[in-house]
Amino acid sequence: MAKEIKQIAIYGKGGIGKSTTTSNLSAALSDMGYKVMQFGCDPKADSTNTLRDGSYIPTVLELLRDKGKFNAHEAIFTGYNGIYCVEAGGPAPGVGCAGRGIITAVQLLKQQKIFEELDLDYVIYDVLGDVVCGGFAVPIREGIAQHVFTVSSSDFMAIYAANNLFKGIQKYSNSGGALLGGVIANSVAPDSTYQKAIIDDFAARTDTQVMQYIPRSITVTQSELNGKTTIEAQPDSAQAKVYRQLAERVGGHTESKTPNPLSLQDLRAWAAEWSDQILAIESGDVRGEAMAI
Amino acid sequence: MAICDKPIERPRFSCMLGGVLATTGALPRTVPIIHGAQGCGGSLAQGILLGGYYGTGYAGSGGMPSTNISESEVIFGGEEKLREEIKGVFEVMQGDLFVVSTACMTDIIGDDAKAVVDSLRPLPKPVIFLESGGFKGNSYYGYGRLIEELFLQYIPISTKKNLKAVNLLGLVPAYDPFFRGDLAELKRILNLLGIEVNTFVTSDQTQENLLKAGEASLNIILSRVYGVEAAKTIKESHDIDYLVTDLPIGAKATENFARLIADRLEISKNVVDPLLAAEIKNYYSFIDRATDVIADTDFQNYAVVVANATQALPYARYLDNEIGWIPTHIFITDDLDEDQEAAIRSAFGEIEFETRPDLVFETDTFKIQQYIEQNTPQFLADEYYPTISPAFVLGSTIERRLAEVLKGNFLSVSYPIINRIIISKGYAGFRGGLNLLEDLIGTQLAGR
Repeated sequence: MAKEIKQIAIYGKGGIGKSTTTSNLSAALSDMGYKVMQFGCDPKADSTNTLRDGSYIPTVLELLRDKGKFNAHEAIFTGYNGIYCVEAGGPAPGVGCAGRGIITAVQLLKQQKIFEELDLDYVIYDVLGDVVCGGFAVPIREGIAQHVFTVSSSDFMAIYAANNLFKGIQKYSNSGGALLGGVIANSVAPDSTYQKAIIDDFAARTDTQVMQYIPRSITVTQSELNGKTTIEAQPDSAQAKVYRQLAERVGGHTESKTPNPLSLQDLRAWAAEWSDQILAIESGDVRGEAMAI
Repeated sequence: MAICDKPIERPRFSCMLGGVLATTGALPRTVPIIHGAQGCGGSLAQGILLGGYYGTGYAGSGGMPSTNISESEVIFGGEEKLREEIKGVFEVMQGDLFVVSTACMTDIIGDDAKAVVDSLRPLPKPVIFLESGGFKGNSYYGYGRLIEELFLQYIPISTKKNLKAVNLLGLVPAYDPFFRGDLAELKRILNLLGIEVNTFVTSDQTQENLLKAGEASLNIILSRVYGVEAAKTIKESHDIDYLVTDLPIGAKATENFARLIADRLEISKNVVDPLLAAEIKNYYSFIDRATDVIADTDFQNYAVVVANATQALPYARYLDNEIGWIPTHIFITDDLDEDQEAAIRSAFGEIEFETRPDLVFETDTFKIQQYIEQNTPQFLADEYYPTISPAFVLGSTIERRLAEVLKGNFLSVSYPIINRIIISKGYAGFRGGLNLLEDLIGTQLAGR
């Protein structure tokens, strides 16, 4: 019997650190001995850059457009530690339909049974921003990914995007779609009194878990400026350790769940509640048990 | 915009693009350029044929150029393909006017047809464009939008109005299957009164008719709902007044129609009266001879009319007011919004019926039959109730089944019509009224 390929989709608001997190996750899983493919689902086609010394690779859709016929092998490039790198690509900004592009690219690789041929352990989809249309929901739908993780900071817009993603997952959950593994909390300042609490509270309310807290770190910036992941550039750093922990947790993760997204009204009320609390914290207002001191 | 928010069983219309293409194909020496997938033009060409085998003509139906976009254009954008297509069309197709019409997919992915057309100007011939993605509305809506864009992009604004010139609008090619004969007859009658008429879509029309349409002093909309929005826009853009009325069928309705227009254009009664008197006399001289067989064989019927919002009331009015039949039900099969429905109810209220028929808005074919079966005593197992008998169904070809259920006769008058070919026949006006009587009685005689 063929081994089961663990397929994971990483979503989150644009600019939140999805590609950074995904590339480090891929690198860490690869270091653990797994055969990994990272599949960038963003027209910018820069998901796998840091796995390949900052270089861009031809995308699935470019190859399809230029040659008319698509051979999956031509779209697969190897990066750090033999990680297979694929970029879906897409249209130039403002034209065409990027969502349809994602659908086509994913289907092309699936049709050619390339994942099985490469005997992969992991396929990790790094998907553009919010689930703005059906195309970006493809990795969630039946037969593609099994587990979805969302990268989010404690910013409201990042959480709003995560909540939207949860709605997408909930929609497809009855038809065999991917379920939610959890939240990867990114850019969490270690000395912040509320960032971690906000993400924890959101995870609790939406019936999910936090997989890892990733601090904002200059190490990541330095590594990326060198075109590398932190795992490759600074394998002994504290930040690399955080990513390795994440990889271990993702590796050990087996049961994903249907999330319980907040309605827009509830989400706004929740955000307003936190806004008041943060204001109180920033202005030194003492509340709750501390008031008795 | 007509938005259909429910599934419809056997709808009597296609999409916005369908109406745009049917109309474009009826305009004189006009070439449509579809920016969409091949299925759009292909299936809508079939839809056009359902209007009594209304064929290709100059460059309509099966002769329509299309960009035939594929997956690559959907992903990367299809503007380049449209650009090439327009250039290619100019190389191989001759025409006096070209209409670029987008389809669903190209609208969804946001292709900018206007920008493409503009970037190619100056072009050897006039080109207009419109976003006509099928999801925006049905074929009747498409007709109205095209008429609007013709005025906005092509027909010159004229400050000098011809007080004896009108545009006849509101009948949608193919989807109002007798549009050619109807418009030709109404044009004939208005011409008699000294009125110049542009119909845009009958075979006598040239580009000259389109180009001087801005000089008209009145747009006559022969539909209570379709073309009305266009008329409002044209009032603003070209300062042409409009008059919304019903399609006149038979002597009484046509006389009223002619007098209404004559009054509006301030044509002297002294001119109008003798002309109409001659027409009416002629009309009844034919009716006179037909009454022998009608009276002898008692060819009077209960009737059920199933048609679109433009035609249904005029047919029912004709049956009651002109030939003394009893229309029991009027089914309007279009998906109308509240305002449009109100306009129809208001028009219905203005018609005098000996026995008022039941006016029903029903888009689903099977529910039309179901409505009659569930609301008519003869189907409710009591033989002593009055029955719809003898019955006559005036509807589309798909009402044949309803006629069988009612054990009545059947004449196809509304879209889709595939059981007969429609060439020049019309049912509007004096001649149309005679045509309709001829067909109604002829149907009952056909078995002899």
